[in-house]
Amino acid sequence: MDYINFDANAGHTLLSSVRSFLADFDGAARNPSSVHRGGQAARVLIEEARDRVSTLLRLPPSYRVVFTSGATEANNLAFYLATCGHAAGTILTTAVEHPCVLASADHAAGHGFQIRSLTVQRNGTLTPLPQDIGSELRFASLMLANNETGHCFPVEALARAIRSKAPHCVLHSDVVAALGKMAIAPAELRLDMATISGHKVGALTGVGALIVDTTRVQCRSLLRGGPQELRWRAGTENVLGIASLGVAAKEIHERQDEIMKRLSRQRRMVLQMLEELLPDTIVHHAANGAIDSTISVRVTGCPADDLVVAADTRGLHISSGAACASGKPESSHVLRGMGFDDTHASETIRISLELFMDDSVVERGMEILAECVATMRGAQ
Amino acid sequence: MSPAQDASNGAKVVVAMSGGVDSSVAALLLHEQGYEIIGVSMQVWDYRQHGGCDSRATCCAPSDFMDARQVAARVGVPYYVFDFEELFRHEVIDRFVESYHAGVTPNPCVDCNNRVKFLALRERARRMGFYSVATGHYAQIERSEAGWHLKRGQDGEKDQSYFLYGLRQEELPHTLFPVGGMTKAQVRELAREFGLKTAEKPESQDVCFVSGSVGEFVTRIGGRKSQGGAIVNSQGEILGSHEGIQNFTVGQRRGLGVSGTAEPLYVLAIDRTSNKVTVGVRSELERESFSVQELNWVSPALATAGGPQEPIEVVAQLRYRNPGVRATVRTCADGSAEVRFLNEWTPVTPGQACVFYDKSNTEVLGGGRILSHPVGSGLQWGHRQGLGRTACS
Ligand SMILES: Cc1ncc(COP(=O)(O)O)c(C=O)c1O
Repeated sequence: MDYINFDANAGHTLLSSVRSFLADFDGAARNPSSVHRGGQAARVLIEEARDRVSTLLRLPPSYRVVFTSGATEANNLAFYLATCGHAAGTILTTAVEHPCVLASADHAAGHGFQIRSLTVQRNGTLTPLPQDIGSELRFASLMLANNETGHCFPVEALARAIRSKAPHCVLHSDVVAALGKMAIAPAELRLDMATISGHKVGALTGVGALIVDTTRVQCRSLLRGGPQELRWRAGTENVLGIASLGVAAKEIHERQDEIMKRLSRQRRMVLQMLEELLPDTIVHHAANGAIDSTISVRVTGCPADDLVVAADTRGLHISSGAACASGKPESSHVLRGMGFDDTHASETIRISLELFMDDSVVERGMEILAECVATMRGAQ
Repeated sequence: MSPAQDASNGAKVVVAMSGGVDSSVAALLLHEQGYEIIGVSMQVWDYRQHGGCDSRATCCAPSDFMDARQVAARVGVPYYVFDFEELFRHEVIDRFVESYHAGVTPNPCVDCNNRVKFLALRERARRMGFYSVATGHYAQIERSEAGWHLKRGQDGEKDQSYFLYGLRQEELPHTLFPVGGMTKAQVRELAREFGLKTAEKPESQDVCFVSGSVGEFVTRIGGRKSQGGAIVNSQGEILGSHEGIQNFTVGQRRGLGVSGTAEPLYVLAIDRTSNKVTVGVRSELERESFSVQELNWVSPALATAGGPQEPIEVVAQLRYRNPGVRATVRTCADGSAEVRFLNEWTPVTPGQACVFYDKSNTEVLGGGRILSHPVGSGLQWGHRQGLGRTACS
């Protein structure tokens, strides 16, 4: 079916390189742990993917890419690696992280860790690092860009500040939303760990990775089992998923500049069209900048849940925030955390563009959006 | 806007999908007929939080949504879940609980249709450009020179027009009951033929949100302690005691907890002030007339006239699945209607819907809610032997 995807932060269309890789895949039985040539071929696919992800993220040799089932597992693993074997300590995070980070923090709190949370102001500014943060800080998990608003956070500066106060603190960032939209180098950001997800960048769903500085983090597996992933992650590898992530990483790496230029232009286009077609919308701009692909906007008087359906019936995929697994809409913890009320949050939609979209498609998507808003307002 | 009854005018229709076979087939038929449709399930009650019927064959529980979703995909139409929990709580559950506390037996399906499905859902769909609502109800809509007519479903066993008397003339052109002209057997057959997974799904129960006893539900959700009281006969003699009036319905026979009488006993009246439940033999349930309020007149002529100004002969149906009885009805100055049985009578349960059909017993003329007894007057009211007066005379 033909549709326009303005919901790439929930799920990105498979990149063309990934699609042709899958089309060419021979379907042979493959377990990378097998000794025979079938196993060898699978092993090659995985190691090639690891190299490609390392190249995209400019990882120094001490960093390892640990493939997981997705970002949720990677974030869980990050918490596990940072807290396991420690009786207590402080964990620093933000109020606008993905639920898998917030839930991991809650879990750690239940095991004696103290959780401190940086809040975000309406303009996207993170509250400063608390003065009293000291060496008891065990772990910090601070996302690079928020998946709902696109707002970027000054992770490198925070990492430096934290390092100076708590040299042993393990630093982690969920860079899922930022990946592909800008060049990211976790080591240069002073991070010990970083999380990525496949289906947000045009690879298959069900694959992700935790990037780990093996000199700073001790090896452990969250799952008990075999010695796969050099004992960082037990269980037979998701060969095809991992390979697809490698293929996507390669394409993004080769075309990063082109992507960034296009997205920056398309962001201006979207903002301009919002101003022309829907002048009474309120864009959630960010003081500290945002990833170009993502624009969070309040369409006053239009319940976002309805707008999403109206748009879908016209072939535009868009969402009211993060994808909702329960099917039951709940107002966004991100927007509420930023101090917006429930009405504001319930009228906010997220436009998240794909990495490779023609300008004409973006334009058409914006027109459909405006048509939907006009229909909804006309009916009131 | 042109009526939705004709697919050729490009009508966009929202199909309320409960996850049952009837609405599944409704979606299938409309899609086949060329309508542009979306399937929608209404999230009305948090079964996980409140307990309820998730484990049973019902409707509108999470597992039913999974069925509806799969059927929609099979049929090839988009599917969404709309959240109406707050509204449902307010318009259906609260009224349900309040009614029982008042000694009145509510009809939540009527409330859900009138206030949620054919109002809130319609409104929401309209904003998205979908101007018509379809459901899997067994009822039929026809057009004549005079206007629009709501009729009983083809399958006499399944007919659900009783719950739909709240539909208004202006809504009928934008309402579709695709299975109304079919029998249940035909509906299942069609579902089977198209491989819909709901084909063999059992019927849902009437009150979708209650599992277990109504009395227990009302006490739990209402958050009030239930107050016991006396069970008395029409002479006022105490026959026993009960644990709360919410456990009773006028006309109810079973579960009264009174034994040792020769003839079976029925609930005759429920008095919320004294908490007394009056019981008696079946003949004591007999009424000559009663009043109906919150009326809606569906048929074109009566809708225009605001109801019959002079008594007209109708078939009055006082309960779902009960055969109707011949009666006359006329409206009163205060907006209520007076109903008089012509020869046969049937128990009159305050709070329940009374639906008027034409003499041939096929078309819904209108309906309303049976007025509760004036507080404390119990048996005197409208009773043939008791010389009681009806609300308007
Ligand atoms: C920022 C962020 N982190 C984590 C996740 C979870 O990713 P996954 O579905 O791969 O577990 C998401 C997905 O929505 C995300 O946007």
